[in-house]
Amino acid sequence: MKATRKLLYLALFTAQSLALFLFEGLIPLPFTVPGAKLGLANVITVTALYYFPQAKDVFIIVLMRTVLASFFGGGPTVWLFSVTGGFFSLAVMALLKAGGRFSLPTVSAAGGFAHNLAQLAVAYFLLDAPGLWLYFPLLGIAGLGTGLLIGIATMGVLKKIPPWRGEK
Amino acid sequence: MQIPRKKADIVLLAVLLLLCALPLWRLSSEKASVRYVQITVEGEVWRKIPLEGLEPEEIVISTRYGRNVLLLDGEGVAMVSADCPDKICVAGGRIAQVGEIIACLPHRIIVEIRPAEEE
Repeated sequence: MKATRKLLYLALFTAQSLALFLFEGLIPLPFTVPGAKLGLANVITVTALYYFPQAKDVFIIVLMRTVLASFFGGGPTVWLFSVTGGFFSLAVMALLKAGGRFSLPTVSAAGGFAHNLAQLAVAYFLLDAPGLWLYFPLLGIAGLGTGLLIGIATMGVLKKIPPWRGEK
Repeated sequence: MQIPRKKADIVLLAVLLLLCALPLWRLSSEKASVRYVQITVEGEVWRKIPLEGLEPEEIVISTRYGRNVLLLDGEGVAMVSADCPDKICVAGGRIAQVGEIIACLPHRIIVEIRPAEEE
């Protein structure tokens, strides 16, 4: 029974983050920095991190989201970028959250920063072009800013949903 | 709405913000008037073209991923068309300064302006 509840919630979170991901794709953004985006789907990632007792469940959500999103467009190369960014960002956020010293928006901002750092690192290894790091000042700041906003939005979401009552 | 204002929060955010500026010192140290354009495809240098005195020229880059068209002249270089879905390389516009870069990640193409001394 309890395992079913968890499966259901994981599926629900995955579906919601995929919906947000596709919704964001419909909004044209004036950014010309490659890779800079709002990352709306991460509202669900951060919510899940603070909702489920174990971070490993959130990795499942991120993995499923990126795999499903790559079916909608992008393919393997783009998937490599999103899964590396997503996993590294989540690992950083899980560690910072476990440390207990930082508030949620800060954890989320560091996650956004880590996400863009990881994606740039993938691009660097894939293309072997050190010049790519010149994008980093803009991408890093963009990650911090969007991460902070995503964190603030997440706090609003967490207030509205009842606490997790399933198994640990 | 709650903005982080604990000391630990502010210290971490400030450190990350400072890290963002790290690649900048390298950019400012590279100033040169004689430049060339280096086109890298799938991690390997494909062509190096000196910019000075160059007549406007179109270069087509065909890879197994797709087709890109570059427009070069004596002043700089721009990606004028690409058949990738996002067109980020085209939207980025024209580059002219040493250290500037156009990247087309879906087609694994990097176009850089480099100082001529490196040759």
